[in-house]
Amino acid sequence: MTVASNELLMAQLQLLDWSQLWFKLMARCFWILRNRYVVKWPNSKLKEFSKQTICEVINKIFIEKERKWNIERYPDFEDFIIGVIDSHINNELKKNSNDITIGDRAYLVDQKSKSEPGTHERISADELRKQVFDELEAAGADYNELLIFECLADGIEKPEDIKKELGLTDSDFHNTWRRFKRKRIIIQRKLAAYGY
Amino acid sequence: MDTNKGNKTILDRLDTIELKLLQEDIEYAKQYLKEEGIDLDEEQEFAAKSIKKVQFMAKAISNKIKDQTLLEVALMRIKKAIQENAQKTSDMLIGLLQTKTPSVQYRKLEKWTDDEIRDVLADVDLVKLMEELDKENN
Repeated sequence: MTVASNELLMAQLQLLDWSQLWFKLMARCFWILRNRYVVKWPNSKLKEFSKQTICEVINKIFIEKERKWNIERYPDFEDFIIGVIDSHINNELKKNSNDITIGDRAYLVDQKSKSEPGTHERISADELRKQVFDELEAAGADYNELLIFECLADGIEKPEDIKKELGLTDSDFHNTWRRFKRKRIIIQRKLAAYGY
Repeated sequence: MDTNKGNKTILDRLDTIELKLLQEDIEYAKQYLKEEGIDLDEEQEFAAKSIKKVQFMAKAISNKIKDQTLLEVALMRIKKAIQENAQKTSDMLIGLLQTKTPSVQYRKLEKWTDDEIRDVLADVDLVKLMEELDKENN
């Protein structure tokens, strides 16, 4: 394991655009808490926890030097700090598990959907894809949202590849993606119904 | 449907893309935070203050480590110089000390412990001391 020298660490602290990185880390904390751990917190608590997490992680890296930057594993500092943020959130939630209400994403799937598998268990993958497509369309998904769904179903998972496929500007892609991701529950229900 | 290629469902892929967008696309991350009710200006101000504080503390720690390292190097050099020529080294060190505290009388350097020398070195311009020792060697 090759640990970053003090000089390299200090350079990250002095040269990185921390205001931009801070936003990215804050957004990641929010997303992970909401979606991976499904915490049932008000926004104010989510915000405080996220800020505290970022401050503690930065301290552990630059002041207490408890978290060592393995530059072979993480050549990019941003990838390293994101890994530390994820693990810190996990540790904190485990430590305070009695005080924290954590939901289960599986509960988002309603009971009616859960009862379906028996009746449709022999459905083909192509048929399931068509059914999800139809349900998204019925829920108001536009042409570009449906194309995003097709990209995901084809195994594409890089935002730039999907954007290229759709031929959209950054801003148009962001708007389309936001509309599409709000329909996640439709896909989730359908997949759960067939045991995925 | 390719729902489970490489043990990944289409929902895993949706989450992967969302996290990539948040990590790689600053405009997307900022918009996401706005939708979560975050005041970006307020957050930026907090971030700037927090980072400034950490930068200051990290620099102080780094300087302390550098000073400590320099002190230990100076101690080794002084001890070697004492072994080689106690009187000359003593005169040179006392000369440096007396620029700060002219009235203080110093006893013979070869009788000092390491800790006593360390204490004295804390009052000396270490860079100047090293230069003097280099001169003596040349």
